[in-house]
Amino acid sequence: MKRDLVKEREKGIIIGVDIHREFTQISYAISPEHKIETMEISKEYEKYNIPTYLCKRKGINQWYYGRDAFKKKEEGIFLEDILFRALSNDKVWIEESEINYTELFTMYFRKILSMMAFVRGNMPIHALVITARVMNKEMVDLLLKTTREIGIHSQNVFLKSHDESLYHYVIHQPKELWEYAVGIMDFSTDHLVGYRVEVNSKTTPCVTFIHETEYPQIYIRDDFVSDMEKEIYLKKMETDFLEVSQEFTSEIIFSSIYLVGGGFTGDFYKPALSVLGRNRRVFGGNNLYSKGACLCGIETIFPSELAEKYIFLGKEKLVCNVSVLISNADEQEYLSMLDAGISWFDAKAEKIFMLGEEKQIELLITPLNHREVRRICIDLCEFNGRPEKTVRVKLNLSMCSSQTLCYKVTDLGFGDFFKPLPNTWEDCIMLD
Amino acid sequence: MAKLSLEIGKRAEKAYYMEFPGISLSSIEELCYYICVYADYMGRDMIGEELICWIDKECGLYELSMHLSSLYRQNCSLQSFLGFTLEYVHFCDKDRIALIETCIRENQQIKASLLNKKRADYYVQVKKYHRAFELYYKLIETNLSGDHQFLANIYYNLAIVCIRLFYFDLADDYFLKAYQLFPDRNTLIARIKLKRLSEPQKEFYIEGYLEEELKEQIMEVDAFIEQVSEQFVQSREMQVIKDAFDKKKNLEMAEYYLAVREIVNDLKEDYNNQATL
Repeated sequence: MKRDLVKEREKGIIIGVDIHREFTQISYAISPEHKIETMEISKEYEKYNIPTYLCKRKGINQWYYGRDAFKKKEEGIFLEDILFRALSNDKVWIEESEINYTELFTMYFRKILSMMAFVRGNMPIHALVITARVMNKEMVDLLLKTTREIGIHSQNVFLKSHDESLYHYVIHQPKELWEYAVGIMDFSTDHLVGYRVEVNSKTTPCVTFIHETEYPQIYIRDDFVSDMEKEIYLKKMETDFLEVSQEFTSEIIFSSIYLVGGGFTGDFYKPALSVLGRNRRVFGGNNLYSKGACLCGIETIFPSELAEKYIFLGKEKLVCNVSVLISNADEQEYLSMLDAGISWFDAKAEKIFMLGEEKQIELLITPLNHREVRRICIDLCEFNGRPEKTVRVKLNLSMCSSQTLCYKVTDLGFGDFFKPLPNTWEDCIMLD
Repeated sequence: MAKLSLEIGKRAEKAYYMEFPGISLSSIEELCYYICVYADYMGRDMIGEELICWIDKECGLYELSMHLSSLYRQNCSLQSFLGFTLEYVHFCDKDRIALIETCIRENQQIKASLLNKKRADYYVQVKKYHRAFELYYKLIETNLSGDHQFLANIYYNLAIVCIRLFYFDLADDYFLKAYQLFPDRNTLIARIKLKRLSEPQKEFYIEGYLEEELKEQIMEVDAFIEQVSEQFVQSREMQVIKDAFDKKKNLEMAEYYLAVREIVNDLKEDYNNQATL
C-alpha cells in the first residue's frame, strides 16, 4: 500500500519538444521505463509535425493552431512563421489591436502542450525539454519567457540544442549501433546538414563530440516553371546526394546512419542508400530530436549509469571550469562555480562571499583542452580601507553565449555597521 | 586571511539586538566584528543563553552553539567565550584574537559601574546623547552611596550631555551637584561657562560665592569664549554660512537656496545621528 503511494507520487510526465521554424514535435514518457511516444497528428508522412501556424476567426476570439489553422486559413486571420517572428520581436495588427508575436508564440505553445492533456491527466510535469537547432540568447529568452507564462516552473524546464538531443538519442540505442561513429543526415531545414557523432571511449568519462557539416548544394526547391526544370533539379539532387554520401562516409567507420527530416521524400536519395548502408545499418526517421530531448529529460530526472559514463561536449557547452579562490580556515582552495559540460544557457551560479584584506575576487578559468589557465581579477577597490570580512558581496555568474562569461558583483552591506553601496560591478569575459 | 571566504552559517532572519551600543546583528560575522570593535566595552551581560540560542537557531551554527553552551555552563571567562567564537569563525588571526582576549580580560577586572561609565562616555563620543543620559542617570541611581569623586564625575558628565541636548537649567543643576560632592576648579569653570553661554546678557551668580570672588575665573571664561568665537568665525561651517549670505546679497537666489539646503541637511543629519537611540 505504502509502496503504491510512493509510486503514485513519483508519477509524472517527461516531455521533449522539438522546435523548428516551420513545425514542432512532441515526444513524451510517463516514467523512465515507459516507451517514449511521439504525438501523432495525422496519418501522413509528416505525421508528427505540428506546423507553427495560428489562425484567428474573424470577429470572434477563437484561435486555431497547427493544421487546423491552415485549414481555416480562408475564414480567419492566418499567421505563419510565428517562431521566427517572435524571435525577431515583430508585432502584428489583428483586427483592432497590435499583438506581439511573442504572445502569439506563447499561445501556440500553450495550445500544443494542451494536446498532452489526455495523456497527462493530473500528472505533474517532471521535465519539459525543449530542443532547437540553434540555442542562442534570443531563443533562450523567448523559450524561458514562454514557459514561465504558461506556468511551468523554471526548475522543470530544460533547453537543449539539437546536438545534445542527438547525443541522448544515440547513447540510448543498442551499443552496436554506436560502437563506431553515428551519422545523421538531417534534411529538416531548407538544406541538408550532416552530423557525425563520435564517442571517445578512451577517456573517463567517455567524451562525445558531434561534428556538423552543412551541404548547401542539397536544398529544397518547389518554384519550378516546368516539369523539365524539376526533373533536372531532381537528377542533380540525386547525383549531389550520392557524392555527399560518399564524402560523408569516406575515411570514417560508421556503425549506423540516420536519414531524418521531411526533405527525404521522393526517390532522389535511394541510389545513395547502397553507399550509406555499406557494412552498417541505415534508418529513416522523423522524430529523432524530440525523442532525444525526452531521453535527455529522463536522464536529468532519473540519471542512469550512462550519465556517469558519458558526457557530451557540444558547441553549446561550457568547455572550462570556472572557480573562485577562497580561503577556508587557514588554507586556500578553489571553489567551483561553473562546471565544464553544462550548456551555456544553464550556466548560472550565485554565491555570497566575505572580502578579505585584498578587496578583490579572483576567478580561475581552467579550459578542458589543456590550454593555459586564466586568472581574472575583479577589483573592488571601492572597499579599500574596510576591515577584512566586513564586506559581504554577492557574485553572480552567467553566460550570454557559449564563449562569453558574465559576472555581476553586488554589495549586500554589513548589517548596522556598513550600509550597502548602490553600485554594482559587472562585465563580460571572452573565454576563448 | 587575505583572500575572500564564504559566509559561515546563514543570515539570521531575526536579528540579535546588542543593548550596547544599540546595534542589531544579522550574522555570525557581524557578531565577530562587534566583538573586535567593542572589545573595550565588553561585559558579561553581553553573553548568555539567548545569544547561544540565536547562534544555533538563527545562524544555523549548532556545533558552535553547543561548544559555547558548554563553556557558559562551566562559567568560563568572558574572553574564552568570545575568543572561542572568533577562532571558530576564523574571523581574524591568532595574534589579533589574543590581543582582544587580553583587552576583555582587563575589562573584567574593573568594577561594573566603571565599565558602564566607559560605555556612557562612548555614547557621548559618538554623540548618542540620549543613551548617554540614560546610562549616566542609572549609574547615579545605583551609586548614590558610593565614592563621592566618582559620583561627582558622573554628575559632571551628565551636565555636559544636558548641554548637548540644550537642557541648560538641568545642566546647571548637575554641575552644582558635582561641585557640592567634589568641589574642584574644573566644575566651577564649566558652570561659569554654561552661565555665560546660555544667557550672555544676564548677570549671574553662583551659589556660595560673591561675584568679586569669581573675578579671576570669569576672566578666564571670557577669554576662552572670545577664543572659541574667533575660531568659529574662521571655521569651515561659518565660511559656508557666509558664502550662502554672499550669494543672497548678490541675488544668486538659486545658489543661495541650494547652499542653505545643504547646511540644513547637514544639521538634520547631525541631529538625527544624535537623536537616534
